[in-house]
Amino acid sequence: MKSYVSREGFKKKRIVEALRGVSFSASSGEIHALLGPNGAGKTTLIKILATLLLPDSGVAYVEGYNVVSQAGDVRRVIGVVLDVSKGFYTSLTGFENLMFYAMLKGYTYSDAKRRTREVLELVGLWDMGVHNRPYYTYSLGMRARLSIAKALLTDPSVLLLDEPTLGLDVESAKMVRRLIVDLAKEGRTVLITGHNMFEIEQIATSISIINGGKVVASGAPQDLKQRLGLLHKVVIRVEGRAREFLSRISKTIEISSAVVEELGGVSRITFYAKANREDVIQTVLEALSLVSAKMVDFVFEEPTLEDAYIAVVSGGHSAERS
Amino acid sequence: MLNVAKAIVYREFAWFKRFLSDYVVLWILPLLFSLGVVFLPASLSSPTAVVKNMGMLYGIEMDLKTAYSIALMFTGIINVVAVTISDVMQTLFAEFRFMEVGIMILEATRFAKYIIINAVLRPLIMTPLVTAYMAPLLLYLNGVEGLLEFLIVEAILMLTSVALGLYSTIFAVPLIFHTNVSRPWTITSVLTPAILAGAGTYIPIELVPQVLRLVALTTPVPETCKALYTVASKGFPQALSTFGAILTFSTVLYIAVSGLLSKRAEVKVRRG
Repeated sequence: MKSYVSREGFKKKRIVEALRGVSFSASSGEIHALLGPNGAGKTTLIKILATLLLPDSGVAYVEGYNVVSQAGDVRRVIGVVLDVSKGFYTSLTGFENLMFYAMLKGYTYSDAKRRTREVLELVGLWDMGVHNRPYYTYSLGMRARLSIAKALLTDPSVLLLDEPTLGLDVESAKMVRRLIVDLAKEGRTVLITGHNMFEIEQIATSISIINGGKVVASGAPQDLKQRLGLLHKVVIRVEGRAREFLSRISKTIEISSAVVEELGGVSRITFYAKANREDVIQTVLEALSLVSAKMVDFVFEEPTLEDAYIAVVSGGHSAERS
Repeated sequence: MLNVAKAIVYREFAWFKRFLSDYVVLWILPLLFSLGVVFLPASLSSPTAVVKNMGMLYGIEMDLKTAYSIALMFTGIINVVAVTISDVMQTLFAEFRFMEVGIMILEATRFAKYIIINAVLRPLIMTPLVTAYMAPLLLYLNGVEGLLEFLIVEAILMLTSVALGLYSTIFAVPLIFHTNVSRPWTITSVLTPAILAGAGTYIPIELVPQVLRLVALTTPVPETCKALYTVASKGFPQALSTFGAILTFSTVLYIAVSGLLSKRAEVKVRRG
């Protein structure tokens, strides 16, 4: 649990509860995404796990270390990215900034130099030839790469990334995503926050949706959509007996908003099904053989993570894994 | 502690390379000032009159070389006070308010440790860099003895700068973490001349208003000035022992206060 004192005017104060009983776990090699609207408490949670903020109550462990009583041990195993647009000395180069950080972390001069070069190569800044340019000349994409290089400098087993692709161009965001997936494949645990649902759906292996300081839904992206019972959009074009075909389907799975359009000799059937992908396909194939219709086209649109997110955040759904 | 010290030394030399032109300006301006103190009045009246007047003001027998040495040494303290007070405060401010480098520091070490080491090491490194111009000039004026004078002056200035770095931190920490002030230079640009004027750097101490003298007395700078007179006039080193005692007292006091303030600031930062 974490509360803040918010000042309103000269004397008036208000207590803002940023987190209220958040509970989740992420294992090695997993990319766990924290989703939620602005002010949901995602960054506060990352800062608590990074030992930058102290929780008011509750316990949190990283690699088995308590983030309050064993903060030093936690700092040894984590790499943190918070706000990719700043966090470095503007007048120092990317290389010098990382050297400074490496020395703060206890590296000797020669080890710091070697490791700094390694991580700059890993994120592509060395090959771009910009490592010796002052930080203030960096584009947002370069700054994001440098932030990730800093997080990787101590070769951490846990990465805490707060919106690492915020404001990046397509190419840089793609590079960062690829890097995150590769790092997870190496066995690192990645905790990531973000608002780009397409991106999170691509890389996350599990998700927790936070709203109002609480976890309101969690699980793998596919599980989450299933448990929320979201509708799949199905469009089928058949030759002959379209209405009977639709009637057969509706006896097996729950469908809604069904529309049949006659297009010459072909009927286009559009409906929304509340069932998983496999059941929908199975039912459609059985119905086809029973009514002896011929399918000429089949389009199956799965609900996106964005649909699931909107359903949870605005619809008051709860999909907590029991 | 050694890790933080290594990192700060590395960063300081990286900055020195980047801001070499700033240091060159810091060498040229005091030279002009010290030349002006002696040669401007000399050109208006006569060198003999200037030497006589300076001797009366400082209460010591002097020749033209001594007058110039005193003027030169005083540019040293002007540079050290200006650079230490403003740089320590403004850099800390920029680190934690603008660049948010504080996160990187908090990830690696304890805040109070960083603040104190920074307050001690930065002035120690910056002082020789901003007063390097004195070495060849004192050597030229007073020969090998001038070089010895430079080493003694440098030691006095370095010790003073450590106390000033801690003193500056005492202002900087509450300013950064407990106020909404967003222009720290407004404070440093008032504090620096007040300390220098109050210590009798620009005009004899007897002519300085009491309030400025009180401001200067919160620092060891008045004693540093007395120690510099002693070195320049090759007088009895009694003033040096007084300077040492006051400096030690100030430094210990500043470490205690700035350490306490930094710890409180860390608690505030980590509690959000």
